[in-house]
Amino acid sequence: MFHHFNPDECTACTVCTVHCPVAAATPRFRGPKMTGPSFERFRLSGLHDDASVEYCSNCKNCDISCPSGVPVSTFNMLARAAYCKDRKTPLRDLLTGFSGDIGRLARHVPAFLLNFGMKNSVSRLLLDAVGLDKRAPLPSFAPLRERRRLFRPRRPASAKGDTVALFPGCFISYYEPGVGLDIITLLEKAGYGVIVPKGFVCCGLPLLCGGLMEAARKRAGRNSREVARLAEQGIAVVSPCPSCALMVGQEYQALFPGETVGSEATPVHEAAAFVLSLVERGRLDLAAARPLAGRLAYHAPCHLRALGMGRPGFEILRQIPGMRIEDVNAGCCGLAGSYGMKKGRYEIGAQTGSALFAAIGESGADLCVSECGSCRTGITHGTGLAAEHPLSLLARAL
Amino acid sequence: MRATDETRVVIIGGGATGAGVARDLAMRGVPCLLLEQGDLCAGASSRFHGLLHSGARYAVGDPEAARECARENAVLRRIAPECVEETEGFFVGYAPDDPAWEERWAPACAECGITAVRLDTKEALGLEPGLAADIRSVYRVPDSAVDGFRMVCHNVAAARRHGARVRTYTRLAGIETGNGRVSGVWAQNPGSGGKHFIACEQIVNAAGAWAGEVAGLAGLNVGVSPDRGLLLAFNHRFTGRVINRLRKPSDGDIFVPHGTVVIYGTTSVPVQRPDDVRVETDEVLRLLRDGEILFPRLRDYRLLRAFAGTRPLYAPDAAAGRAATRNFVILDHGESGLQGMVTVTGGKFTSFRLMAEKTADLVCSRLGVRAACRTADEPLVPAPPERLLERAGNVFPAGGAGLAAARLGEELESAVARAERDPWKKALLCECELVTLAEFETAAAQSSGLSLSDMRRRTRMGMGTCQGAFCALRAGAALAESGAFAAAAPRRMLVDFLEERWHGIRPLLWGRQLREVELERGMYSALLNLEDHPPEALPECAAEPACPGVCPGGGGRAAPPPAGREYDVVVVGAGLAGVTAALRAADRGRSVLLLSAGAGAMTIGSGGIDVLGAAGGEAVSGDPFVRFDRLGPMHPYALTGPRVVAAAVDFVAARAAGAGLPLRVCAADGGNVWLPTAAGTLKPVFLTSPGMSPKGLYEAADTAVAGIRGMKDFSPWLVARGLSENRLFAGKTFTPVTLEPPRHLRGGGRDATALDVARFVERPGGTDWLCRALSPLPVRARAILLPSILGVDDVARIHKSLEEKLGLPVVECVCPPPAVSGLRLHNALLRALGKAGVVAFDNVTVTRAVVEDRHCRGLVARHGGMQRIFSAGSYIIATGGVYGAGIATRPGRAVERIFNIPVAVPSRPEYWSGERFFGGGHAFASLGVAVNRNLQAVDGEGSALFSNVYFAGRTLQGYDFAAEKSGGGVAVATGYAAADRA
Repeated sequence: MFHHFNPDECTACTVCTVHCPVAAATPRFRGPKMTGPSFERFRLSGLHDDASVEYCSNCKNCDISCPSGVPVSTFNMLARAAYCKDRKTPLRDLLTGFSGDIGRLARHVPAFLLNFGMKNSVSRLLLDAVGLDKRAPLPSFAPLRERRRLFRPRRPASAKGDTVALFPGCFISYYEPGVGLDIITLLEKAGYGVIVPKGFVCCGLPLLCGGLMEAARKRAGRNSREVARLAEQGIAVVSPCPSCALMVGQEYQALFPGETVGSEATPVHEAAAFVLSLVERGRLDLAAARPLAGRLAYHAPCHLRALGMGRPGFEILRQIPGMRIEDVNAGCCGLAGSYGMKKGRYEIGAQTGSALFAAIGESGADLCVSECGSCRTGITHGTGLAAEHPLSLLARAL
Repeated sequence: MRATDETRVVIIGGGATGAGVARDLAMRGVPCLLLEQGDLCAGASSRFHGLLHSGARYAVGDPEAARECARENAVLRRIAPECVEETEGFFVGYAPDDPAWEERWAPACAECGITAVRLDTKEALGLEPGLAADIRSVYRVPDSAVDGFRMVCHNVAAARRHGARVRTYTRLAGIETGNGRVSGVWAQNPGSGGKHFIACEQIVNAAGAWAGEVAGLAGLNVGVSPDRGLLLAFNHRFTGRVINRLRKPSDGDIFVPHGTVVIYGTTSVPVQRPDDVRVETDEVLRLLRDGEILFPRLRDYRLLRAFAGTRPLYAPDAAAGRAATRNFVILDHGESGLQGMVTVTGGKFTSFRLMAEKTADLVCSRLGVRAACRTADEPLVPAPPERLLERAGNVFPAGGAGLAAARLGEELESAVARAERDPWKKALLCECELVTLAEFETAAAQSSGLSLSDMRRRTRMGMGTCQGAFCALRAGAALAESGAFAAAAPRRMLVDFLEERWHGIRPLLWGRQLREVELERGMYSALLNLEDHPPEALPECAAEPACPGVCPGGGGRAAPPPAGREYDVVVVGAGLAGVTAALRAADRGRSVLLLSAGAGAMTIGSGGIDVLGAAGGEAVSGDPFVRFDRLGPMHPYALTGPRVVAAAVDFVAARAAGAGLPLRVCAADGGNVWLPTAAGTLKPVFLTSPGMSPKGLYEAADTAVAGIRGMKDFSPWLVARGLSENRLFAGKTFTPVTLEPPRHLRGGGRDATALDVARFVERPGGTDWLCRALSPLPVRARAILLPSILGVDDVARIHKSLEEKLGLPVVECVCPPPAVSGLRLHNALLRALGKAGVVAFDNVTVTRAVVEDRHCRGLVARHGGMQRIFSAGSYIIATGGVYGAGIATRPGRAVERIFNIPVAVPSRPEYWSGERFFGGGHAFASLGVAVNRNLQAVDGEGSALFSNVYFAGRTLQGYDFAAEKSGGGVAVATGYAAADRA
């Protein structure tokens, strides 16, 4: 069904363009206000051919900074889909868009084979030739054993409502299943049974960013049905990836209104927010946590900020007695999912991230903390420091 | 009678009919002259739906008119495709409406030869999902949208091409007759007032609703009565088709999509005078109620403006309103004893060409001209060659080439050539309607107009979302730069334009439109001070400006994270008031959480802090703190007292300085100082940020004003002209200079703004580029004025180094958003928050409060189906006013959003605002939460509503930040005072 978004809240104030990291890095992007709500008025009259919308990284700083509540990035994603519809999708966008499916296909292949196959210098040159910049960091596949452990069948808790389902997301599933396992440990400590349903697929965000709207729509349909099925059994869904939580929990409703089940999207909890609520309800006791050595720099991922629920991972860690942690609050890391891996975007990402990397350097931290896997990859690439999920640290401290 | 001019036919009225008659006569080779009192198409020809009727609306009541519409609809679509958008139309039957009408209507359409195809309602809803689900029936008809102004303009251009002459802004002052014959007319120039005589054989009175007045000049009575129709323009195209309500023609029946907007109307109110185009809010609300029947979400769609036109209804027998005929009449006044005069009136836009044809037939028969009418056969505008359209595609933005081609007609070539010659003219002057500078200049060059409103009608600039807020300054600058309209002072032109826009916005002052107005006032009144109350004299500037505040860089730090996660203070809102409150609370050792939704309005500000710039319509010179006695007893300054204001200003200056942005008092007397702006005006502030000290400007005899080619929103011509015409700078010279932009910013996808240049200047090598660009200057100058481009976060160092290298004082002007100087303050205060240990969460939208026994227990934030409660000992609400969305408004109602506190408003919508946009007197400007001296909200009896909630900034009632230029001072004073109590 035709669905139109209402661009009427926009006052053309330009604040989104001021806070857009891509616009700050390159004059080639017309900026979120123009490609979003301004051009939307023309798209409604049948004109939609602005190539510059391809520059949008979907980091959502436009939505976050907008004083009027305009879903600017949604306009941009829809505009990109319209722009890409009749054009051939470049191979690099297929590779990044379907990276989840690639990981799924390779789920029985040992990590050393995958990582060598992907990261040897010949492969990097080949990838570079199809549009993935050879300088960009690529995440590494986790050992086969860990990947299998995450998806090992688990038993739900006996009491109804005390079971949660983990939506691990592609990054955790294939590159950092350890984070997923840490979260399972925490939740079990709080008395929950945790299942990792087989029915979930990639949330579709990487596809959306490549303009592959229809492929994203299919995944939205599958995941929504799975979330609804779990909700019927009183099982809440939790994701360690802020982007997946945002996409499944909030964006489906806006982008694919026909695919979501029920009148309002069933909430998908970002894992740290869920754990914080357990702390507030006394199901986890932070006072009992052992302090961690060293200084931590916390980076709030853009999509976590877009979720609009504060910075729960930071709030949890700063409550651990003796913890030395600083919220560096210095904007986007620049990688923005796979955006900064793409040729012609790598420089934009590097420039965007430079403020964050400098701030982390100034903080004197020896470890970085961030909820988003892509941010962690970008931060390690930009600073040389290790980066972890806050709940992994918590699992270790408890 | 000495004629200064002669022609065969004089046509009165530059609307559709007059322009059509001119084209028709000229094509038949008859010399003619068209006179129009204002601009082309200023009457009903641009003040209607823009509906090209299929005829279906008249099929039952007036089959003859219906057939005529059907024929003319086809003709205009054929000859003028650039003026017509073939949208097709729906007639939608609504269940409770009388079904008998539909039973008569469908066969009547068939009889008139109008195709009306019945659609399945499900299918129709799929095509137009905005329609109500409970509609009964839908018919598809060949309705279209037509652009009235474009049609008139292209008709006039075609008439000129065939030899006709056209004079706008020329009033008909008299009709000369003798021996029962017309001998000529007196025309009057409104500027000089001089009259001249034009001899002619025939007069065609095509003055629309003014036809009665024109005929009166010849002593005739034509029985034309003006009938007012109200129209509403919506911001976006929520329907792609013309939607008609299928019932006996009545008010509020028709929605027409037009490019980016939808026009909805109308009403029918007999009025005394043709220029009575008043719009009242009640009438707007009535129309909206009618419209909601077909579009249930109509109130979710933003209204841009309300406007009215006066139809000329021919009603010799006193029939009025909808009872009067919509048919046209041609009156040959020869029959009533005056040869040589014809009045054509009544009718509707769709049939204007036919009206012109019949009129021209009559005139030609009287003149003995045998040539036949060709207006239905020849295209109105020759089709542009493919090659030209290709070239246009390269210079206009996505989709903009087609729009420009349709708007410009034969002038397209000229606009394309302009943009090819000077590529920076591809920049969008109007971003809402995609009007490039090249198109604007082309239209200005060929226009005989005098005002920005004339340019608006020609290009659609200022007719979109922002209603001129962003393009007005650019348009004024373009005119100043090109030398067009040289007679009018640019500031006057801007003011007139914004006042004209104000008429259409004023009846719609609630919700989103009121927010847009507050943004516009923030820009043109608070930031650029277009009211321009000048001080008696400029203050002397101190050699070493004082940095107020006693503890730069130091200060307290927030308490460590509280046990059990409850903060001492939660501050909501990260504008100047909220940030000040958070910093002050942290300074007092409290643990502070700052929640914000959106980035605050600091990037719309000057980056300086104004305390009080004007009171009672006069500039405040010297110390602003001693002038608080001029303010009302409910003014926030009266609640805090001047000592708190001074302490707060010092405090914020110290915190900003500690974060690398020293704010200073520049005036030697310790009072206000006037900064130059991008509009060429002067703006009063108390504290200035680095780079803005105007000392150099005040003292130099010759100043170079340097702009950057292609950079938006700063024209050295506009600034130089404004300052040189200011008596405070008498005897001084200001010379515009244009710098070539750095290569990095040439030929990009985005038009460069001051922010882009500032970011470039801050990069390695950027300051060197600026230094090279400025030396040597091509003119003799003792000071340099620049837009705010001296970096974002390193302005103090860049400014100092530039002055040292150039050996000249350098002064930055205050620029409109994206305002770099405002961003500097924003960034500095965010850094200060981090230093002070304030925990800050962005994008947290607080929607309501949990209150028990007058005590707030927590604030509830909601986002995307998730909810979270933030709790603290006390709460500071600095969510802003109408613009910042702290105060929600509906027609006639206002309420504080979080605690649902009703806000006192004037009883009638008309009392919410003043007649004029500039000059204050707007009740909406000062509506807000009523508080006591502790900044706690109070009820009607004056007792506090909540024991632990304090309000700060624009959420408060009793001041007008824009007219008073007091926004910064009130924000910091009340934020500071609230933190001291929380």
